[in-house]
Amino acid sequence: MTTHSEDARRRLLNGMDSLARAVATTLGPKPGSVALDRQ
Amino acid sequence: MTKDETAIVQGGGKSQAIRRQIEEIKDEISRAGADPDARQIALRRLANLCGGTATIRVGSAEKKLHAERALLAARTAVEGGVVPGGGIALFNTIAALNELDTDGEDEALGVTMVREALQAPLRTIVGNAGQDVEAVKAAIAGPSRPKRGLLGALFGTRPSKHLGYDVLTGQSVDVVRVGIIDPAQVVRSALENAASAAITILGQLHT
Repeated sequence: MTTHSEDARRRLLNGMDSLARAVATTLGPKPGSVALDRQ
Repeated sequence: MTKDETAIVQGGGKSQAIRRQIEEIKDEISRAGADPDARQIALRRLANLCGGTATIRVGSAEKKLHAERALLAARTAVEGGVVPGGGIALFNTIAALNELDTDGEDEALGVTMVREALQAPLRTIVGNAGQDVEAVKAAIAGPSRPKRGLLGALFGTRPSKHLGYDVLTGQSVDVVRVGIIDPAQVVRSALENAASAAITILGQLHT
């Protein structure tokens, strides 16, 4: 699959955001848990 | 007790006898010479007897992971020192950005981004505890800096340099005194890596 310019940027940002949201949940002394599903 | 090991808790023994045993093991080490395995085992026995080691046995696999990380953090801290934890150290560096001269809008935008990023750890930690970031920020910046005259400045109690917030108790505290600290190296490399990743991503924008 090849994507370019605006579409590629949007997908990249989506991926970064979902990773960051998952990690952010686990920070601090009262963290939440994250379940991973392997595809 | 496991199939390979037996732990004796609170062992006794006369100190003289222990010393004799230590000498014996030292002997063994010098005799072991080239054999690295025997040497290793003897060294470990020696360390156990000298009381220079602590063995921590941890209950569950999950707790073990925590313990290992804590140990790693402690080692890193010994190496490079500590800074106020819980996102406070990064948050406090924001003041330094205000003194920065920026050349044009683009640079100013960059500084704004870094300023936002430096608040993110504090915001996330407080948010995860279900508390309000703005209230916490006010508590950190707020009440402990009364105006003082010259004499007060010289002799008065100094406001805490590490004022922060303990999300577990919900109180503003001197984070360093209560032990909320991070290894300085960890905090620094977190920021460096974040900046490096951001530069890589932003570099893709106009190709």
